[in-house]
Parts: sequence; C-alpha cells; structure tokens
Amino acid sequence: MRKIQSRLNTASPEFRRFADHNQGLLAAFRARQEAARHSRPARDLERLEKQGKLRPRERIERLLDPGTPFLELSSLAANRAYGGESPSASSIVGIGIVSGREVLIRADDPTVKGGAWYPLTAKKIVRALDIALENHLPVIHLCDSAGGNLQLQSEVFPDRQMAGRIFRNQAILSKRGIKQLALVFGHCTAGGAYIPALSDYSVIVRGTGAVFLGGPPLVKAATGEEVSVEDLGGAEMHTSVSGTCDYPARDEQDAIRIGREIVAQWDRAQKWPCQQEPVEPPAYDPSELYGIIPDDIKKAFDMREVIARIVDGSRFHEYQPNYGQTLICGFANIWGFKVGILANNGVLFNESSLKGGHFIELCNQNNTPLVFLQNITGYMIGQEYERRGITKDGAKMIMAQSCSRVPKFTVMCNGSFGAGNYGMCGRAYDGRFLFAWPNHQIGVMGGDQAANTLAEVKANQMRRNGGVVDEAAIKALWQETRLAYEDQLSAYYSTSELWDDGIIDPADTRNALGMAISASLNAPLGDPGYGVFRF
Amino acid sequence: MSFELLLDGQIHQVEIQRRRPYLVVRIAGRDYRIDAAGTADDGRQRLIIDGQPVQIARAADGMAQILRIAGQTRIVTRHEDGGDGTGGGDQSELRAPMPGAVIEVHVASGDRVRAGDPLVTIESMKLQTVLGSPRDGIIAEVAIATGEIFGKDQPLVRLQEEARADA
Repeated sequence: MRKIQSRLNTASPEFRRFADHNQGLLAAFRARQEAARHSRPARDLERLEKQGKLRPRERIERLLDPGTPFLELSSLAANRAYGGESPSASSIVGIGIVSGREVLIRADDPTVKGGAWYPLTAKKIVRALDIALENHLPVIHLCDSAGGNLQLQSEVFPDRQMAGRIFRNQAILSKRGIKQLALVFGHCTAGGAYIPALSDYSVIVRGTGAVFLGGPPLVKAATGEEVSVEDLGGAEMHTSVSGTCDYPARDEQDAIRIGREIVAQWDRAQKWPCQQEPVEPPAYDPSELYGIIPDDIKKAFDMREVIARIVDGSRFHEYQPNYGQTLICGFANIWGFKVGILANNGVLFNESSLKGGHFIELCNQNNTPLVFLQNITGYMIGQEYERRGITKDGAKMIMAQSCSRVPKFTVMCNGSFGAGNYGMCGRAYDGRFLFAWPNHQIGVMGGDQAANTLAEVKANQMRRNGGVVDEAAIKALWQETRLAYEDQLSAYYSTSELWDDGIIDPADTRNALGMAISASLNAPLGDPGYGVFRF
Repeated sequence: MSFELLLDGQIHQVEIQRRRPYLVVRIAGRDYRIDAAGTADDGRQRLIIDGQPVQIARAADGMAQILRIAGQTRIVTRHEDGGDGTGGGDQSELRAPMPGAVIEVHVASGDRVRAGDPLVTIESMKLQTVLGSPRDGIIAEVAIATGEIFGKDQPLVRLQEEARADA
C-alpha cells in the first residue's frame, strides 16, 4: 500500500488559525470532561469516605490490569440534561482489560444523588449492554445505586428501551453465553437488585453492600415490618441464606480481588480472524489534525489528510480514485487490523453513492470491517440528479450498508447533515461504535438553512393572508430558529442524548478505533445477504 | 511526432522521423538510425545506433525511465511543458462541478495563476469548496461575481489561450 502524500502546509497562516481554533475546542472539551469525572460537592465525597467506600473511578482503576488502557464511553452523557446534576449520566461505562480479558465495565456513581438512575442513566446502561451483546464482551457491573429517580419515573421505567431493557439484556447476554459479574459495593434496590441476581457471579461487600426489592422504609410502609438493612439484604444473609449473591467480601478491595480471580477463570474468547499486519504508527503526526479541520463547518477539507493521520504508516490503497470522487473509498490498517474506509470529500452524487455501495459489498465479501469518516451535508438534490436517480442510488448505499455482516465503526469528523448521515452509518444503523470530534455538528439540516426555510415559509404565509410581510416578526423567527439549532446541532447536545458513544480528542481517533475494532472481533460475523436493490 | 525529454536538467527535443523498418530519431538537427538487436536472458536490450552496438537496461518509475547505459545510470523524464499532454478536455475553462452560489472570487482578469491556485470559492449543499486553476496561465475572463447563482457545467473562469511550442 502506498503512503498518502500529504499536501498540508503546517507553516501556513490557515493551518495556525485552524489549529488555534480546534485546540480551543479541545481545551473546552477536556475541561468539561474533567468536571464530569471528578468535580463533586465535598459533602458527597466525605459521606462516601465515612462509609469506607472508594470513589467509582478508583474502583475501576483497581479492577483493571495495571498499565492497560481504558476506553471510556459517553463521558459527557447528560451534560445538557437535568440542569447538569447528573454528570456522565451518573454512570461510568468503558472497555478495558481485567485479568487478561477484554471486558465491558459499567459502574454506578454513588457520588451523585446516591447513584440514582436518571432517564439517561438507563439509556446509557442499555447501550452499554447492547455493546456487550453485539461484541460478545463479558460485563462487570460495579453496583452502588439507590434505584430509579422517583421524580422522573415516567422517563425511566415503562418504555421498551428504558430500565426494563437492562434486565432483559442481561438475560439475553446469559443466553448467548456472555459472562457477567456483579460487584455489590452499595445498595441494589428495586430493579437494581436484579443486576446481581441476573449475573453469573456476584460478590457483595459486608457492611455496605445490600440487595433488596424494597428497602427498610418501603417495607415498613407496605407491611409494617421493621427490619435492618443487614438483615433484609446484607452480605451475610444473601451469601448464606438466600443464595442471591455468591461471595462475601471483607471490604471493597477484597471484593475487587475476588472479582479479578473470578474473571481469571473465564474462557478466553476466540476472536474471528480479521486480516492483520504488523502495527506501524502513522507517518504523519495525528496532532496535525487540529490544523486540518477548518474553523467553519461549511468549509471543505481533504479527508485524505485525515486518513493519513489515523492509519498505519499513513498507507492507503484507494479504490476507484477517479470515480465518484466525493466519497473516498479504500483499504488501510489501523493498529494492524485491515479495514475498509469510506470518507466524505463533498456531497454524495449518484456516482459516489454507487461506488460506496459497491465498496461496502467488496468489504463484506472479504470480511473487512468498515470505518466511516463522516463529513457530509447530504445527497445532491435538484432536477438533474433526481432524473438520474439520486434517490435510488442513495437507497442502494443504505441497503448495502444496513445489511453489512462485518463490524462497522463511525467517526463524526465534522458535519453530519441530512440523509448522508444514514448512508454513512449514522447512529440508527447499528455500527458497533460511534465517536464524535468536539467540532462535530449533526441535524436534519444546518441552522442557517432551517432558519431561512422557516422564514421563507412564514413570509409566504403572511403574503397570502394579508399581503404585508412583518419584517420584524420574520427576523425574530429567523433568530429564534437559528439559536435553537445552534444549541441542538452541537456535539455536546448529541453526546448528552447518547446519539454517540462519546466525544474524543481527534488525535486519539486511531487508539479509540483500535480498541473498538479489537473488541468487535469477539463476536462472530453477522448473517450474510442483502435485501432487494433498486437498480 | 515530437516530444521533449529531460536529462540532467537539460531539455532535449526528440523528433521521430520514421519507425519502420528501423527507427530514425532527430536530435539537435542530426538523424540517428536505431536497430533493435534483441533482448538478452538477463533482460538487457541490445541496440545498434548508427552501426555501433550498445547494451542498455531500463526500468520505469512512474513518469521516469531509469536507464543503465555504458556503465552509467541515467534518469530520463518527459518534459511536460508544451507537450501534447495526456488529459482530455479543455484545460482553459473552469466549469461549475455542480449547481451553487459564488462565495468569493479570488482572481481578476489579467492575473497570472499557477495550476491549483484558488480561483473561486463556491457554496453548494451547505458546503464551501475552493475551485483551483486547471493549469498555469493568465486569467482571460471571470464570468461570475460574488453572490451569483450558477448551474452545473456553467463556465466560471476562463484562462488565456497560450501559443504552444510545437515543432
């Protein structure tokens, strides 16, 4: 494979301007992430310490094999919800190595409202267990939660993808032979009690750990019975009387030690043999990505420059380099794993869509995982393109992509607007992982377009009704729409709503993809075959 | 047929006079007769140039030919400027690749530009793209202005025709 010849001029004023802009975005992202991870009221931290408990991130650190990386997912979930009172959606999720096994770790966060589940907490846990199901990753639950947030129960409890789905997913994981371990550090109340009960193995800490469907206050209210936490659902009772939990632990450190021993007994999964080459770092410095991404979402840039800073040796075998050039397709290796890359270099035309569909089929036949690098404003519109069948050509790409049997990964490198999001494996298309850069924006259209469209419609309405167009009202509507879009288009809004698996530093893209691809190989390939293509 | 070769920084005009039954090329006003005398087992070729036997080995490296001749390695490339070119289409016109609007015009009539220099920034489908010059040359006409809407294939900028150095 040939090395991409970068045309980037790192001495140009433009490069400096873009780099300053993007490093500013990165610093803001880091500050928010730091706050979500560590900034808590002293009162909550003191209470935890008095109970002899570790902070949730300390628990994870001690659980992981020393010196191994932890790929945290959705660290800024819920950053725009509940007035910011549920950092990381009160839940920590990530992929790491425990006793030499790749596992998914999911931890409650008792430093926020006693670890109570908000609606987005449930969404994040359901997504975490979906990841475990899709990638055959064993799960370790670190339990310490007061249960569902009662004030928001209508958004936590009843629907298909809400809290009930957590336990359903646990059952399906077990059915598929994917192991689960629960370490009970604090309370598992109500629904949360099913987490250890549905795990293959559970460890409970004496004194602080407890599992029950209804806690002492609820029992008293319901039946009048007065009972202590320890007698109702403590470690002693559950490991010697009910058999709900398996191992008692002296303290948290002991529970982690027992947990690591349990994982060490598990079979090492056979991964499917994706083609691999010796690993090579990129020939170009990934930190140059900051100077490549423009300071304005509307400005185009050459995605080859991005690929050159993600893939091994910056080597890229470009497929059909002269056809449908607004979609770059080609083969490369990331951390040694062979992948097929689809990257937007402009609007999707008929030719680019056909090329994309064809390339996806090639990758499916060769068992090559797919990586989508999105910077897309949509499929081309207009009379000429409709007559040439842009809609059915886009449909072919969506068909090929949706029915893929190989794992898919998506990185939101910049804009993701309109149906291009679909063809390029947006969230709805069951990619194994989807990461976003801090500059990312997503929406059915851009803010200016939406504001212009609505203002135009309103003005026409006024002309029809009275003939006079109220310019002030139009301007107000324009600004209102623009502002609402600005907020909702931002990467922080989308990651808050868990439309992705987290914002990442662009320079970390290669590492995040490497861990994600490695994790994905635990699951067998999906079923082959496609639906009916409209030619 | 005539073309220019670049060897050690010097441009050499080479004119093919005839190909059959033997090759005759004219270089710097003098004709050379070249007979092919076969290929050796190791891939080297034997030529007879004006009665003198010469052994050569050659390899292609992209646009260049690497020659091993008379104990020396020489690198020869085709000199592109003024050559008959290989790309089709009119290189003197920048046409719109898709419908859109002009955001900024970077050049004016009479400006000298190099291939790839930005001529016009357009916006189409919410995306701004910089269109570069198809070749070196002088701007003859800018056919659109900032803010104007254009259709697919509409000419945006024209370059002056240049006299070609043809032999």
